[in-house]
Amino acid sequence: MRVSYHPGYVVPLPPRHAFPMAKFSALHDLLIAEGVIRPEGVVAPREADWGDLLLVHTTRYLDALATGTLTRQEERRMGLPWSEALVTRSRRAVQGTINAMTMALLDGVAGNLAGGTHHAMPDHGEGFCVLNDVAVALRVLQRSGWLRRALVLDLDVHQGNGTAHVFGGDRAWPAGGVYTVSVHGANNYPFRKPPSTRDVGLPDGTGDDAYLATLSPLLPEVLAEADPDLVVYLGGVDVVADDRFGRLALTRAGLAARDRFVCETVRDAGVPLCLLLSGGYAARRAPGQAPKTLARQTADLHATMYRQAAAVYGDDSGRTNLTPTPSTGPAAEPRLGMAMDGSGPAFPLRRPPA
Amino acid sequence: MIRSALLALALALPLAGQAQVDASIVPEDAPDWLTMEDAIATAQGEDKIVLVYGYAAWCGYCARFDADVFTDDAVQAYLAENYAPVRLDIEGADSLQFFDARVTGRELGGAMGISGTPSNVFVDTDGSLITKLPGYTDPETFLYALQYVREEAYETTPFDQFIAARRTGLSLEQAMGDLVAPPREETEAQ
Ligand SMILES: [Zn+2]
Repeated sequence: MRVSYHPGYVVPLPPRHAFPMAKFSALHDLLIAEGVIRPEGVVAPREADWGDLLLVHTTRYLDALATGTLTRQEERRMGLPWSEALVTRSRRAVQGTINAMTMALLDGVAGNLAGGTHHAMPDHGEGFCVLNDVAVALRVLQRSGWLRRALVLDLDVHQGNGTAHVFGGDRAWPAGGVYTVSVHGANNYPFRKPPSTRDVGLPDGTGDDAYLATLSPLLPEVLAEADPDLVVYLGGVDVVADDRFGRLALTRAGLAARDRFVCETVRDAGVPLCLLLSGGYAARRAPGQAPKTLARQTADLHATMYRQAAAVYGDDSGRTNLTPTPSTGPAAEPRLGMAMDGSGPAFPLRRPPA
Repeated sequence: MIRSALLALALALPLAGQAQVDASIVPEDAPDWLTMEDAIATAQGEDKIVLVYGYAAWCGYCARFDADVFTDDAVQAYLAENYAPVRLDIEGADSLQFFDARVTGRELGGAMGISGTPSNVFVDTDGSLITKLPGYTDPETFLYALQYVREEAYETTPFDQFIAARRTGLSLEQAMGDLVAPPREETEAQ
């Protein structure tokens, strides 16, 4: 199986930031060590062209990203502090998804060891998502004639609001050719959920049995309805019980069963499958435990999807014909630091009115 | 809700001649209180503001704040959408993770300048303090404070004018205009 990965997927964040940035490199190292992927099957993407990003995102937003002129609210909504390295990284991950979709169409299955940033909207980023790789890549492949119809199967615990928003016009299926399915925690972020083609909201605490009982009839049904040229699978691992943001209660075995079922069903339908990470914010950290451990735990959960795909598809898919490129130089320092100041007036503190 | 919380309190202390306040008991109908670490993470991931509610176990007004304000439906609904709330025992000796620092509740309360309870401190996702709201407030005023901080109205408007605008249903511009500039006569049609 060929996958997209670049060491530049990891960029520095402020200390103790909630996003486990190191999970990308940890996942790569883990999959190589386990032999799930081979070094020659790793294709390193360059940054996506601005012109491709414009198929989904607005000129204003891309300009603000390029020049570092996001407002404080925009930055906060994104959940990640702006840096030039972050923008480069996000563009690289988009190209990684474009490449992964292309490789999936060629090989039957492929993945990006990042991507699935489904909360990103045309005009702003949110929920740790800067650019919507799913939407951009699908529009690029549609425009170039690689595919007509696609099914986005979004099993991240959070509803795919950005993707749903972008392909909202496709609700009158098959108008725009992208059928979006989101199975998510009903009470979880995002608060406002623009409709996907199919939305399934699950109650807090949903466990393995109820989850799989929902998915089993749903997937064959939407596959038949969408009749896609490609399935894009966002296999978010934030459905597991001890995820920091999840609210659902799948076990590791339940997660493996879910990913196994998706791979087998899509393979049996004869449709190429593209694997994307999306969310995962592993277990709580015990006092004194290093953040790295948390990223490794998250990576181990993300590895489930690739292990299952390797088992279902075998080792034949995706012989090497592209070579990895070397990594870029060191990334820029994070812009925001921590400031604690207990002094000053009681209310308000930040900027008193003029 | 208030009554049932007090009843629970009374039942929990059957032997005490005079029921003592224990503000560390959280009413049943409470918001989803988070740990500090989860609150910071949630705020970062879901674009929320960390609300640190500083209390002390013996503090009578804290028990009232819990019973009156945090059980209010409108307050809870607004909190759920916009805030990641944390209870901070400002005399607590247990250590907690606040960004890079491993501190006790007492230390963090001190660093945040909480000198009395109850006190609500608004913390941004990078760890900077946005503002503080010391003392007891009624649910309506507290809701306005939550909105005031979330909407960043402090950039333009004093808190009392913000409240006045909300109460009268005027826009901030209208409320400010009434106070800042006298109504102007209509200019000639152009
Ligand atoms: Zn998620």
